[in-house]
Amino acid sequence: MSMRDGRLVRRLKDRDEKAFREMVDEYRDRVFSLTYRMLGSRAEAEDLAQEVFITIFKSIDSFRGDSKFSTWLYRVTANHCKNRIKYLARRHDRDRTELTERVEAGGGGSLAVPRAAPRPDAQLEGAQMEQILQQAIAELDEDQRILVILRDVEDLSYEEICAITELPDGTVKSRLHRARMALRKKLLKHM
Amino acid sequence: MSSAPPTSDHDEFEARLSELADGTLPAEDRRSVEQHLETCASCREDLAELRKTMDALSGLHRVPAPENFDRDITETIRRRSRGRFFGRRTLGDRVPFELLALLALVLGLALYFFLRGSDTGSLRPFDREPDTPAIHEDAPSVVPRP
Repeated sequence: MSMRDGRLVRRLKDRDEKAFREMVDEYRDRVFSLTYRMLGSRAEAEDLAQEVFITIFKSIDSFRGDSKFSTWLYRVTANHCKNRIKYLARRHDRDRTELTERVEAGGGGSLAVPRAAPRPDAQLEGAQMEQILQQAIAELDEDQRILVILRDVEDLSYEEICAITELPDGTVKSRLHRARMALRKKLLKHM
Repeated sequence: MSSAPPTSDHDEFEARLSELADGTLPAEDRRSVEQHLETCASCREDLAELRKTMDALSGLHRVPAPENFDRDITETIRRRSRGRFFGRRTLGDRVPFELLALLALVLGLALYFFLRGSDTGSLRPFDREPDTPAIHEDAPSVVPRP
């Protein structure tokens, strides 16, 4: 852990509000970007990113400094993302069941699940491509998704990814390879 | 894969293909993978596909947090904690509950054994002075005078 991070952690442990603001300022884009790429929704991503910073501050005493502070932060973010994905999937299933029950009972409602409205700039090739990629990433299972985002979007080293995911090096590499190949198939389907 | 590596090593080989594509494969491993690629059209095709995917992914950049992120998080904290979030923590917050419970148990047991071994059954020390009642000159005698 760098001396700068060490000082920040010490001040966080002292419940220093200014240190909290500095941490948010330093890491907000990294945390938000990961939550956004994992969840695919800006609103959910912002809400979860806030939760991550609150969790970090509350549980800072459990950070022993064995890894880089950013690695720990990414690990907490990744765990939050996985939990939120499970929660959203359960909520989605429950909503669909309730909707189906209402329709079957003649209570009205539409079975059509509203799709995300196309972005105004979707005509632009770059934005279209990003949308397609984001959708293809969202279709990967969460264990593959996190690896693709950490390696190919966040550009982290394999060593850091192993520390974040707590997976052995070989598992990360072979799983990442399968994730990339799965992504390729999905991209061909979308394009 | 034609003339593919042994099945047991297949996962490892796939991982190497991915490492080759992202430029992190060590030189000696790279040579052996490249040798295999010379004779295996299927793996060459996989590698090409992999590179195309990674090219596409390289167009994805870090998404900056919303402008008002700092303000929103401050509001969330204020709403939830009513100003106590940054306050200095009490001993109970700083020391784990398990440790406090263990300490209380040890102190309780020490007190119990102390009281059990005490002559008076309390924390007061045993008074070893003879407990003969004080005789005052003017006190009425309980012994009948002859």
